[in-house]
Amino acid sequence: MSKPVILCVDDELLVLNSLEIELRKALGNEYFYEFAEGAEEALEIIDEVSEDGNKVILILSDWLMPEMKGDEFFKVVHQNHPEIVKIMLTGQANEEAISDARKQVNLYACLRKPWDGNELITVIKSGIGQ
Amino acid sequence: MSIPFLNRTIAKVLPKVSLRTVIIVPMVLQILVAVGLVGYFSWKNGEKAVNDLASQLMQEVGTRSQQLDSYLATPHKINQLNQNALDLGEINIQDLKSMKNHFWRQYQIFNGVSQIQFATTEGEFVALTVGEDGTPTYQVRELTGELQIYGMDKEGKRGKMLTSLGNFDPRELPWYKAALKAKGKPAWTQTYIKVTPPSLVITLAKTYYDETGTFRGVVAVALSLARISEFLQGLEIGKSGKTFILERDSNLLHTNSTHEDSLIQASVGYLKEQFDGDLSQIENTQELKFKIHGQEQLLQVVPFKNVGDIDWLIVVVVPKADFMKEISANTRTTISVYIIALAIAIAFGIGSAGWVIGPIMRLNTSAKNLALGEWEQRVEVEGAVELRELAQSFNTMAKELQATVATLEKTNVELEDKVLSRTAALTATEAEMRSFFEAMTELIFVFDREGRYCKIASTNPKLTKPTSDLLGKTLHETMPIATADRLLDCIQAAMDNQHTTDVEYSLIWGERLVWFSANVSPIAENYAIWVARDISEHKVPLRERKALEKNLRSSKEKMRAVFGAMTDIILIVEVEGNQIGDVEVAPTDPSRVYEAYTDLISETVESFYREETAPTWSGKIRESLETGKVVHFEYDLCVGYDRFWFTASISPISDRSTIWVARDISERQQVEEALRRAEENYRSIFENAAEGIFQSTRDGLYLSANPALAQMYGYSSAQELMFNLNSTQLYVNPSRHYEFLAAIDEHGTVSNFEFQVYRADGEIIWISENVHVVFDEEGELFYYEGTVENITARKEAEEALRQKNEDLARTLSQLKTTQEGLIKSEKMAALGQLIAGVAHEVNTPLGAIRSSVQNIADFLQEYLEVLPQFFQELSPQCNEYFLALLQQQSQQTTVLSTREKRKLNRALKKQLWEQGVEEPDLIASTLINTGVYDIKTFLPLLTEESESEKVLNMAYQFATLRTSMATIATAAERADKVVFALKTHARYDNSGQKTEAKITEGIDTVLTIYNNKLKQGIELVKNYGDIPSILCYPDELNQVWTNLVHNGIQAMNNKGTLSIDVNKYNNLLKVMITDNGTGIPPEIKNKIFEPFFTTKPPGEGSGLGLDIVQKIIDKHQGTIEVESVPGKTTFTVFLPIHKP
Repeated sequence: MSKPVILCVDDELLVLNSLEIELRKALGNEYFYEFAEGAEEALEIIDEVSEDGNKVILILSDWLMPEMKGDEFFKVVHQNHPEIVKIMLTGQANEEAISDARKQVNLYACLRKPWDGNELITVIKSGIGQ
Repeated sequence: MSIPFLNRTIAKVLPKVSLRTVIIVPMVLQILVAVGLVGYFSWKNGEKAVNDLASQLMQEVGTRSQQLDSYLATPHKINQLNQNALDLGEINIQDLKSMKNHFWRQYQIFNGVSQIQFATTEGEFVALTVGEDGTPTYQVRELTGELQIYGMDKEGKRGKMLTSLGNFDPRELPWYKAALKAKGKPAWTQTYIKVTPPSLVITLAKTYYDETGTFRGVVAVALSLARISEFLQGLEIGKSGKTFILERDSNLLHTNSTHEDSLIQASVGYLKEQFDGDLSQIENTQELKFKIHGQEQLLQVVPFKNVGDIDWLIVVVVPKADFMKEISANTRTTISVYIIALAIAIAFGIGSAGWVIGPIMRLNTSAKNLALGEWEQRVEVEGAVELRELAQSFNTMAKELQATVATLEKTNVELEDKVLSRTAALTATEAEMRSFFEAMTELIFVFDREGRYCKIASTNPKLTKPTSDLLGKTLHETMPIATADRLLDCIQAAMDNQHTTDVEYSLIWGERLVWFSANVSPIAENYAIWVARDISEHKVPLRERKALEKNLRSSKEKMRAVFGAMTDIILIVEVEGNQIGDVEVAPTDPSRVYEAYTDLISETVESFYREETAPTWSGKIRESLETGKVVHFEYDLCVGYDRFWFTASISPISDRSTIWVARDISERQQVEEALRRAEENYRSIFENAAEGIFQSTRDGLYLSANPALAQMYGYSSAQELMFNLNSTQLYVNPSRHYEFLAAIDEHGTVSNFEFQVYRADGEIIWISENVHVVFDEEGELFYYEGTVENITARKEAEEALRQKNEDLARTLSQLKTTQEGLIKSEKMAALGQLIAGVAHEVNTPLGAIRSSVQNIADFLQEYLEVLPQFFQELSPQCNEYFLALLQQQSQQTTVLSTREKRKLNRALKKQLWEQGVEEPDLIASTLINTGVYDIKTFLPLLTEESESEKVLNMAYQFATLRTSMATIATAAERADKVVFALKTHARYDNSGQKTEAKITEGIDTVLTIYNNKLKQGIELVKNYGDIPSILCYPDELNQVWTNLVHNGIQAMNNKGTLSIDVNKYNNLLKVMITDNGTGIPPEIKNKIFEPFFTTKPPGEGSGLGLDIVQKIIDKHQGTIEVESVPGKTTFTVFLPIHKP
């Protein structure tokens, strides 16, 4: 069975757990939800998902993460999957990196932690064209 | 307000504010703003969440009243069913006992009713009653007789009779009466006590009419208030909230707490007071607030009506503190953190302001000292790199200044030496001359054409009359006219002829007649030198000679005698044609005067025949012969090594012979020569001196000037200067001239008088004059005499020096301004970084908390209402599964990583798919989120039960609730840890006292702060040995660890392994912080502990880190070492363990 996939990336499990609850509640069963604790894992997931015949349509990612920061991660994603909607969710980010990302990877939105649940869902919904 | 006004205001205020304040205040303000905002938002979020929760609970209670409504609807249904059954004949009014089974079935369906009953108009009665303990009994009364009460078994069969009751008439009971009163409509009784079994009930009763419309009896269903009580107990309201039902007459119907409860009593009291004791006024739901003992209470009243007499008020009261306690605690924590952060910021500000301002103050002091002329200024500054450069520039400039001043001083000394040596030479010459003159016995005067004494070279010590007062007077003023005339003639003759003349004269000097023999020689057209010798002693022989002369004419003997008395060389020269013939030597006696007279005479005679002299001499003789006049002639003779000067007077005695009288004038000639030489010497000094030398009148007329002065003033010669210049015109600043006159009038001499003058070409130069007054014999000012030095070069050097000094001061002030700016921006950069780091560490857990609170709120809103229904509708089997699912959740304590979760998910999905479960993806993730990793137990639920989706979803919702709460707890802990670490790290203990502390705790605090950096690719290896606490300054040591950890992370470019080893080493603690970064290049290894040394780009670090580290370690009497090779850099700190 094939469903579009929404992927969340954050090095904090706390954040991922909360996001999962919020997304499932708001968007229900129409999507698969995947969660990664880092950019590397996220890239693996993108590959796995496409092997299963599904498609990642939206990525919600933190900025300040070990190994690879959010903007770099998005750049990598953008090379192979420019169609994926990219949203940044961050507690603190280098403004320069954000504005670069906006230009280079067509960043859809940048939300600040702590985030407002309604706003997050509204942005995601508008991102995936609901 | 206009911008200029703002600027003026700031300018007015700022000078009064110290640099320290300017640094500290913005820093404190920023901390205030940052911490305040964080605190405000967290408090705001918490309060909002709790308010939502409270209002939902209130709403829930309101909803419960609707539940109560539906609960109270059950008796209606039963009555209706029973009526229908009677109408349809399913139960027979004649056969009351047949109703038992009917009632039993109803009891099975409608759980919760207390009694189902029917009474006929005749007083027959049948009822199925459920006791408070749930035991069903069957009660029946025939037309006449007792009320018989039987037990019942599980199948509804009648058991043995339990008791019987006589004197029972159902028509007397409240419900029967209520039904009659309602006339065919269902009616509720008021609460009353039912006797069998005893309980407090309300009953819904309705009259029954058969198909003919005849009143046949009453059907009724009683509800136990105890069941309502159970229902109320099902509500948990806060920690100590209460729910109770009030009747309109203020009677408490029932509560889920004891009647004595003070909260309820107070609430009832409050309500009575609020509605003037008449609760029947309450029409709508009322939300009220009131206080008990100062505690605010939230109170909600919901009116509840039903058919019949049911007209209740459901009251919920909750102490606000139940919800607000945590918020208040949070607020208190926020305020304490706020105050602590403020204190830290101020302490930091004071500390850092100290090391910035200190060096500036030292520079300032040194600059002031420099201005006061203390050239030996060297400033050692420890502070920002700019300060250090400033100090260096300052030192260099001070050194240059010192060198310039030294050079100038040296030049001055050299000049003075030169003047001194020249003055000494002049003095020596003068002394020589003076001694010459003093050694001479002659009087020497210089006369002008008028016979005025122009110069008196010396005074003859043998003369009693002084000669010095003769200067400026004429001969006629000083001697008898006849003598004066004769002498003046002689002088003028000498001048006219340019020939030396002799004269003898006598003067009365004192009381003595003095005879002088004088030679008058012209020295210029209008000047002649007069050399007079006192010949008084020779006067007697001279008189003799004169007498002899008289006699000579008469006698050759006499003549001879006369000659013998003479000292001159006298020759009688014969001339033969053009040749000198015989030369006869008169027998004079020159030996009295000349020692070598014989030689002289023979030499003289020989000279008549010498080739060199003969033509001249014979010429002179012929001249005398031809003119018949006396011819004067001067010549010199060399005898041995001596040169003698003679003046000869040639007089013709016949046409062929002359008399030649030669007198030795060597002495006079020598004096003249000496005078000439002296004059030449003076002249040479005068002409060649580097200084200008002049004589001038008070009015500024130059009497004399030397070429140096002319050159100095821009004239081609001294003559030109004297002709054109009046010294009063020189002054650039005329008032200086008056100062000069005043000074010289007062002291008679002026030294080193410096002023500016105009040269002939208009150029302005600086000169220095040394002038003294020359007075005439009456003590009146005669003229000024002085020297002039051109000091323009020196003045220019001084001016340049002053200019340079001013430039230096200006540069210093500019540097200070620049430096202040730099310091401020550096502080801002550091503060910005700190706040950004803290913001991330706090925002992440805050985000999780906010999201979780929302999730909990959503859960409550969505599911709390439907829960009772959900449980009611759940089959027992499903109920068990549900409970098992909940249990599974509570047992899952491990936190799964996303990878683990995905792996589990895949496995579960496969299993589910194999079992044919629909939507295995969804079910698998739901199960995992619910805490179910093994589906064996739940397979039947998933495959067989139709309600499985509902059960699973509800279990999942409960799991999210649990997860959200766990998230809040963990996140709060995280935020707390960050704040604590920041607090601990930044705390500044300025008590100056060492405290006992375990340094590993400090290191861990620092590591917590750097957690955000460390987790981005740095592996941390901690190796702590068993170490004792030591007496130390823990906060300052934290600064050490912070610097070393920070440097290590940077050296590794945020990737690598950071090892921290802490061990005991003899009586020392040894802390090693090792990174595997690029290492420290050997060429800078020696510099890293120097202040302001940094390899970081501008703005990222002050370069003071390791300098501060060194100082703190020194303060602990410890040492720090560094070893570095590429790939391994270890900073080792040794701290002494001082036993307290």
